[in-house]
Amino acid sequence: MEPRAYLTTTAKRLLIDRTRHQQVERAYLNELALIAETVEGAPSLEAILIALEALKQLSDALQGLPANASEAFLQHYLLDETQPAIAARLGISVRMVQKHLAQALLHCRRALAG
Amino acid sequence: MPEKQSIPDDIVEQAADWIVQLTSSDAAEREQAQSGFEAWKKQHPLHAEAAASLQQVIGRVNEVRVTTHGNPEPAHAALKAALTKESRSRRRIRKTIATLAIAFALLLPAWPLLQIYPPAYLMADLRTTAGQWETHNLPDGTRITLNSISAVNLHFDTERRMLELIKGEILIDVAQDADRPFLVETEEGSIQALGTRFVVDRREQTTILTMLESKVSVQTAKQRAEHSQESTLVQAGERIHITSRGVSPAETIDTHTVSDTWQYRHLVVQDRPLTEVLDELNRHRRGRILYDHAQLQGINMAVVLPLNDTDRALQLLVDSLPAIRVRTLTPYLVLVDLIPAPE
Repeated sequence: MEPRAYLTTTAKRLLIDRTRHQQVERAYLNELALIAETVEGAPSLEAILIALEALKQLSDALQGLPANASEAFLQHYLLDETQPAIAARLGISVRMVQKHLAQALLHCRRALAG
Repeated sequence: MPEKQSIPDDIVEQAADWIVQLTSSDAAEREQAQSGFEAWKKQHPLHAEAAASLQQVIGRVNEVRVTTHGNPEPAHAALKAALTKESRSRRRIRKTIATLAIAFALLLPAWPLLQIYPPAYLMADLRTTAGQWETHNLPDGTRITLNSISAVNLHFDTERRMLELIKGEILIDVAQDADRPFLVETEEGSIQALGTRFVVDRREQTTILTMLESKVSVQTAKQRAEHSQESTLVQAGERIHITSRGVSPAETIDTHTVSDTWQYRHLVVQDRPLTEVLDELNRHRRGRILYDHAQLQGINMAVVLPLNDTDRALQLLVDSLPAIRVRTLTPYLVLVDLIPAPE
């Protein structure tokens, strides 16, 4: 790729990443404020910063996955939703949910390692 | 990490298939996967390595719940926010999965929202969000003001006027109507008035009633359910807490201070702990003010703070307490702590 095009693409990429990271941060802190009343004690600043860092990494890792795969992944591993429940919600078979989960695991492994 | 990249794809794919079956809802499949996975991992060191690298991914997901003591909602909302845009552009490209995409669009946006805001809040007749403050004139002449993040339902008929407070805090100026009693109901109890002014605040399974003028009679949820004739009389200048355990003894409050708070949207503080003041500001702020409860304990203050401008309120706080500092980390995250003593 010629340098100019490469730079433009990189700059765009960085901008998109930054916007996404801001969205992650904003959504997380908003929800944190909403549940603050039910959570015992305010989380420490360190704990919040660690969570935000991990969330930004995960949000990067999930990019490029088909919507159903990332959705199944979050429902199963983050929300502890069962595979049949996810299948019902997405209107697909349990087998297909398992395929999506495996695909998402592979995708995230590559992204988090790189 | 280079060694991770060096595991052949087919081995990592096999590991992923095993791991997915480990959390199957089908008991037979799960048990088979458990023994099969163990045997497979022993076959070759690369198998075990591939498995570990994938389980790290799941570990990463688990980590983001730790901060919120296992509650996954903030993390989920954050990741959904990052994915929404992506899924929209992909939908345009892949027309073949258009049907699925439509189902996705219809089903999913509602799903996380319902988790964050309980349906009762979303479907309420009147509600306010963080920092919002609204006054409504009801058809009978009653005026109600909703504080930040509050929701009420109205049930008015020819027999009675019933206002259900779901969440948050309201100030009520009840209009006289001898034929139709005015009732405020919460999960914890009922407050009956005949023309009076009072504040009802509902938070964490507690309903707090502050009487500004005249009087009301209060019934707990238990008395209400049993159609009991018993009730507690609360007079102007008194504040009580209604919980599942009953009605607390009345404490005396300054009605002018409370009225001013509602009229001018000012928080008037006379000798109150700093931590309580920060909690109050948190209620009115989009985003979060963080502090260490133990560190700021024992600091009391007297101050008047604007609730409609929490940035200014924080600045005023610093001005009146030289020992503390306020650091803005992001527009959504503000840290309040003591200024460290010089070395």
